[in-house]
Amino acid sequence: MPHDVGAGESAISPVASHLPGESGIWVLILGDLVIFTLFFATFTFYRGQSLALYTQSQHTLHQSFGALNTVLLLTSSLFVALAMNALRREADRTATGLLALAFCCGAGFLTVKYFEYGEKLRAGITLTTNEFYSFYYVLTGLHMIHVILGMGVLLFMCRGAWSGGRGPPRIVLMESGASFWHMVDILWVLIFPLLYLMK
Amino acid sequence: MIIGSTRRVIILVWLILVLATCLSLWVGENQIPVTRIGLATSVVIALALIKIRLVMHYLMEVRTAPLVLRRVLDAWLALAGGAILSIYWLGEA
Repeated sequence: MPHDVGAGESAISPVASHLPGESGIWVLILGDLVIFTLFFATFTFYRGQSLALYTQSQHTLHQSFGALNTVLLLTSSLFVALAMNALRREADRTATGLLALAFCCGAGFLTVKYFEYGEKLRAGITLTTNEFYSFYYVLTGLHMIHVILGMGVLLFMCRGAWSGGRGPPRIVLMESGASFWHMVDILWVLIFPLLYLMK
Repeated sequence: MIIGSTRRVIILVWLILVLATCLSLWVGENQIPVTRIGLATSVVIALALIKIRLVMHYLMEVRTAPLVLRRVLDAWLALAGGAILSIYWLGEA
């Protein structure tokens, strides 16, 4: 296999290149990243136009909720990465357990979101309250749909890891699911500072 | 052929990611003098970009992916970070 790792990286990992997952999943991931980037740029632009409104509205968000959700998704990514490592060592039971833990982190994320949305809705804050909250609900809502889809993928991966079997098609399928879940994590890593922390 | 990262590297990267999140929260929660608000926001965004690159390279296994994918993802990250920061600073001006 060709060795296309850059000269500066050869000492870190002397390996041939390997695409983690199907090429189709990467088309989906790149498309999602571009669409969310457009949202992020639009949000930042409109924020600059009505700075006082955005800053005042941002103060009603709980930064600790956002940080907790960030840690939950980062931890789920940790479990997924460790599960892929276990699968390659043919430790299927370990991989199943790790994927189940990643699923629980996703469920934890949704639970925090449930309390966060509930608090806002009880206070009468909805999608139409103002421009900031429109962005807040649309961005976090679209991301939450990705989390729910990702949790479905994790369940599918759990089943795949539990049922055993070997060979490249199985690993490629698992890598595709893992890559999708990591993308869900990556998106939140940017949503958190934009909505909760930007001053 | 070695694919992905070792367990030790994965756990170490996760620890760095969690610490970076705590640092972001600390910067975001603290009262910052008006003159340093722009700097604080830039630090928080820069930390997010660093975290994303760590996730992509060490957890998502992009480090050992074909060169074209690594370059495309790096270009996206530079473009996203550049766009957010430049639009932010234009709004501040």
